[in-house]
Amino acid sequence: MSHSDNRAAASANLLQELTTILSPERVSFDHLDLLAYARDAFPLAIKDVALGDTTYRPDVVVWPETTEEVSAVVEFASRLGIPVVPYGGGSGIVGGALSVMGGILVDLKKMNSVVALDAVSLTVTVQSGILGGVLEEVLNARGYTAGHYPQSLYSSTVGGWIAHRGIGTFSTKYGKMDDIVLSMEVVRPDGRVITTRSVPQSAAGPDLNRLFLGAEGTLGIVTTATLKIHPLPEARVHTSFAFDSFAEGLECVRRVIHRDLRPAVIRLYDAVETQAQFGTLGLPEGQAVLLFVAEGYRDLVEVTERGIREIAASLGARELGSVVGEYWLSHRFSTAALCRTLSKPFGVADALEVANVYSRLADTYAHMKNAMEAAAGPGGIVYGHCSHFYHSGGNLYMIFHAEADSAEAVADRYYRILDAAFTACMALGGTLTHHHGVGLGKGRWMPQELGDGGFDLLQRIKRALDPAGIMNPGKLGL
Amino acid sequence: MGEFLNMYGEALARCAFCHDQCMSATPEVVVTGDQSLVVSRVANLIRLAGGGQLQWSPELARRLFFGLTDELQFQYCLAAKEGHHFEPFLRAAREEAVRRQLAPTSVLAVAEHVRLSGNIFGRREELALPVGPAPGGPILVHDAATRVLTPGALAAARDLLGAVGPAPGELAVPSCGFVEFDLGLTHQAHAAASQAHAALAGLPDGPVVTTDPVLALALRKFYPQWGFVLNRPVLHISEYLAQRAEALPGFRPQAVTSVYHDPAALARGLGVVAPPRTLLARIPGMHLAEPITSGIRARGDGPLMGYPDEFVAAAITRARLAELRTTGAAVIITCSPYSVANLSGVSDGFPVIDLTEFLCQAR
Repeated sequence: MSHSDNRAAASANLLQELTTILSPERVSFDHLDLLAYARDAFPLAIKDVALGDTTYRPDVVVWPETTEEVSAVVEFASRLGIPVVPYGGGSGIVGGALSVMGGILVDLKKMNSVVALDAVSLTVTVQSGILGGVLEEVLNARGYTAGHYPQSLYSSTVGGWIAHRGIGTFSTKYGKMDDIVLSMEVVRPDGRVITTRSVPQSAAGPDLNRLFLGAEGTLGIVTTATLKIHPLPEARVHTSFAFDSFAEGLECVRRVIHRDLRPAVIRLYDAVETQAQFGTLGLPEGQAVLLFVAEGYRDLVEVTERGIREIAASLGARELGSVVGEYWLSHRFSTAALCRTLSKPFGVADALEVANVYSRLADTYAHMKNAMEAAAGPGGIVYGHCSHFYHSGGNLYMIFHAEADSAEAVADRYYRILDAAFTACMALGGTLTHHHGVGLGKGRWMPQELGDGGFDLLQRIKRALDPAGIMNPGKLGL
Repeated sequence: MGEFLNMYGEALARCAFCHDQCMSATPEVVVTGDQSLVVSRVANLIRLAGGGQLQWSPELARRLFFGLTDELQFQYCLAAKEGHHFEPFLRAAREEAVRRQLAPTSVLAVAEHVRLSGNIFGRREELALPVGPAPGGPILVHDAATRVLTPGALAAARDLLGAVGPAPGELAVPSCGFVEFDLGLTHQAHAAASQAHAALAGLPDGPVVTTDPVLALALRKFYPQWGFVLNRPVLHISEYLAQRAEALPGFRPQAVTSVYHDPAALARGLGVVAPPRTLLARIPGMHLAEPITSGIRARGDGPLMGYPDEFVAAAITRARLAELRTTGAAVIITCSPYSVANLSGVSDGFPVIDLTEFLCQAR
């Protein structure tokens, strides 16, 4: 038998087995379906699939509706040693949902129910395949919000948010997924199901939620989650300021946070990105812009706004009013600039999101920018912003647009820029990812990120839970 | 296909390389979870077929007829904000599929209906001769959609129009051509539009009024694009009546909670959101509930005609029906023959009624 005959025979067997678990219309071997699922939003995969390349094509796509069905699929795959790749909205830009070894792609978007809403405790329990935009619609109609508005809100799922430890743009008030998730139901690699307890805190040993947050489906599939929710805010205020330097803007943010002020949004743009994002507003060139959005109860919003103004004024910032914030709000879900560059034949672009403590954040920005510009080559553009802040530090987005010399050179150019960026970041103690996760694209830097001992521990955990290595192979550097 | 890529290449590329921000507004994805039905994935297939890297096939053609072009996706589309729209290339690809005789049987059935009867339902009709309006009066225009799907709305429209001003004229046309256009049956669409345009040209001045938002959308937005200039205003009946609301007769109190469903062609297509609500607000005692999504972001009630998968279509409609019913309403009011037909078709007897009929019954 030829290779294609073998694959066809294997497909026929798979189909027969899988249709004993799922109804036939929820199992597909259709070539066009498989092509559609051969990419997520990983820049190189988008470009590959646009050229008809099916490197990351799964062997079959299934659409379960219940945890029991997911469990049965995983148990079946475990018995036969078939790779299983969980798939949410495919919005991740690190290649976390790519089928690097074929196998069964489990699209969870048919698991999209709101299971329960606890208005007393302010929690919502959902199936993990619900799209963010749909969840917000449902919550908003009942007077609530999850407060989690990633740029991918309309194309990502709760499961994807958990898998990558995602974050939304209003994170300073509402938190990261690490903070938002109370509990989850997870299908283990052997098909068994565990459910963590929906409690605000616990000391019953290590937190199992943390085992699966950020595991990117390598340790199991999250099928249900309970999240914190909040009443819709009664007030929202925008303020923004211009600073002579990025470092001065960072100092302002640090003082705001250390004064215990918690606006929902803090975004500091360097001078280049200020013009790229807000050039139509006529802002002066060469200045960094810092914008705040405070929302919640009116009195607290007023206190927050007043405190921010005082701190910014003390640092000599020039106030820009609300127009910058309002403009950002109306464009906040747009990734058009990245997509535009990717659609060019040799174009490559990405947004790298690292994190570091305040004392090293400005240096991290400067070192990464220099290193990335050198790697991006002539015509490359690098700029950055910070958009999530904490007690000790914040994240740093470094965005690049570059052009390779040929289609064959695109991947090489891409990885050279990433290597320059992460080497500079980690040399200053930063982490290579703050909320996009690792996926396929950043796996090669994981030993450096975790250290030899740390990476060895991660590998041992993986082997202990998934000895056959079927769960989302090739991700996290595993 | 080279010409096709030349015409639509940039919009196709922008869509195919997109991050799918339209996904949660894509009804097929919401009800089936199937990411291959997101427009960006379909755009990629069209690009590959256009470039000769993928064979045209019935399976490919079938996918072109998903992705409801009800414009909800536009509300979230990044490329649309920069002037790149997916509807033109999707419809052009549908036309190509029809030309290659690869279109689904559901589309071919519509084409056959049009061939046999001149309308998309295949109903043979003896159409009444056009009637001119009284001076200053409107012309009530309808096609087979209203006559087949909501005949009661037509009678109600005559009644209401007569009550608020000069007697209306009336023009019955076989088809406005929009459904044919949407399905890539371009020649049939232009033939229908040409016929309707000629018939209207023979009538005295006066605004066109219709109970069918699809017809209003075609006449107002697409006819000029196709070269059929009307030189008269085109209004949905809710707009016409709302402008003359003070002339409406009084309504009896209705101790009921109702919910209004915005038809896509009316809300997103024409931007008509307030007039139906203005009219319903005049009914004393009635509580008008709002569903989770409404206005220009209202989720669709399902496809028009020729959709390739009846189970997916029904699932889309059921999802919208469920959303409407969570408001606690005892009746669903809408104002499109297709919306009434779709929602009634899955409602298990739950009342769904056209706006004009509801207003007439409340008098």
